Amino acid sequence: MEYDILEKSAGLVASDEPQDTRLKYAARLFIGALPAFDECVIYVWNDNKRCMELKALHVKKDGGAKKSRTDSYGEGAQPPEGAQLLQDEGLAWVAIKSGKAIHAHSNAPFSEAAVWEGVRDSGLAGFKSVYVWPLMDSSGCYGAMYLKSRKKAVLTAGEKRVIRTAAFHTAMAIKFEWLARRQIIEHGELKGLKKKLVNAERLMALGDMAASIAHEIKNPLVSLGGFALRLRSKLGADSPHMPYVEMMLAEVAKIEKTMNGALRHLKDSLLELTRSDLNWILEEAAAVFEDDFKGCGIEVIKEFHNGPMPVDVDMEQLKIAFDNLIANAIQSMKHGGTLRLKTMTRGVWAVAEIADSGGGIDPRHLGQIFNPFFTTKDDGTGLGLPITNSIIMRHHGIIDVINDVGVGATFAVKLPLAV
Amino acid sequence: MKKKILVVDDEEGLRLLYKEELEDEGAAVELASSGPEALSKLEGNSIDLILLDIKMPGMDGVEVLRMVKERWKDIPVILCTAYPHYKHDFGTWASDAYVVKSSDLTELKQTIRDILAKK
Repeated sequence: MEYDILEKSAGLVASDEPQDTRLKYAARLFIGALPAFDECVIYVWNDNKRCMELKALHVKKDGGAKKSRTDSYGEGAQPPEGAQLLQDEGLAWVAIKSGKAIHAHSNAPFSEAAVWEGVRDSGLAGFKSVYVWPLMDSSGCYGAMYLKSRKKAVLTAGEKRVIRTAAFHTAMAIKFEWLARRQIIEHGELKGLKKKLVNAERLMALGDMAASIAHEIKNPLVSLGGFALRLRSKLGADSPHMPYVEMMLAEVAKIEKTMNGALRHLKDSLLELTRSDLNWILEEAAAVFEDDFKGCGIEVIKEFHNGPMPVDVDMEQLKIAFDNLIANAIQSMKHGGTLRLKTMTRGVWAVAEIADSGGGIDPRHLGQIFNPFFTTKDDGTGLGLPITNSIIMRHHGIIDVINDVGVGATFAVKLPLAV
Repeated sequence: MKKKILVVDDEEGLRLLYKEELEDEGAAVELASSGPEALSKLEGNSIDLILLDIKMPGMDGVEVLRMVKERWKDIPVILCTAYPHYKHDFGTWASDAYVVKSSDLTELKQTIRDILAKK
């Protein structure tokens, strides 16, 4: 029996079957190998729910009908009695905490309210002998396994050793499944992050190029505009050439406005970092727009993180970034709306969210909003968001856009929390 | 007596623009297209004010400013540039004023008037 069960339990570790199938197989394996026992139950720790869930139950054939199931209650549904073991509930937790198998024996069957070593465990009810193994290794705990007998049953020292090893195999089967699942998730996240980074870097390069072009244009533009102004003062208001001069001046002014936007961007390479607080920065940035909020009938809701949010930033740069985002939000709500300013910490990030109720961004434009010179506004330069993106990137941060078409857009600025 | 202003800029169009505009205001204007040329003009002339571009090939405006302030510390210097951000550069702090270039010279002319009035 011994080698047979060990060979099979070792096979569980390498199996490609889904976890539930493997555990069901394990439960059947234990009951098949130990005829004195009637029932095998395997619980697996669920990190999200912070409890252990019943994943496999195998009941011996003789007497009653064969029962073998894995957990099948759906997400959100109330689990059946005994399908969950909350933290510190039942003998499983005693086994896990001590790191050793526990056995409970009683001359009469245990009752519903059975207490063993100070711990209540309804899973004992109706049985006379129950063994519990922790499913763990040196780096963590993955679950617990119960072997239950309606008669009094005692395992020999040899049997215990074999079951301990087989239980370890079961734990490893669970662990490998976890690791594989985590790898898939992390790989997906990494791929997404890489794509985003490549995109953000491309946009930063575009922004830099726009800025250097702007500088080359600025000087000749000043002399063009300057001489046009001289022409205007020399010609006199009644000159028939005046409309041409006015046209020149208007066009120069338009280019100058764009150029100034792009030139602000040039500063980005020189960051003067000081320790600041993201709550304070957002508060300061919003304060500038008080009149606009009133003028446009915009209600401002502030949900600030209740605690320090230290960030190392170039204050002037960051102010430009938040100015741009808040100004955009206001422009999307010219006829009133709600501006939600929210800050929070998320892992290594200090996050500031600027959410408007301006109907969101046309999905056709979403891919272009960070491109320099892309604008949907009549008087826009198309540099606000590219500059904002570049500033945040240079602070090793990132901007997430959550677009709720028909409702509004949320720009989430994530900056590394200073340590 | 006419005030004499030295304009230092590597852009020919801008030199000409400043010259015409400032002469209209009643100043005498000397032109230099580079740092070294500006320094040699300072040797032989009595200059009342310097209008200095920052971004020039070779010797840049910040360097010219430093040399001017070492030898002619009483001549006021207005830094004039396309970049607003030089304001935070320590090297520019020795200047008497800082004007961002614009085709509208109103601000520049006002700054010149203010500085010359103080002299």
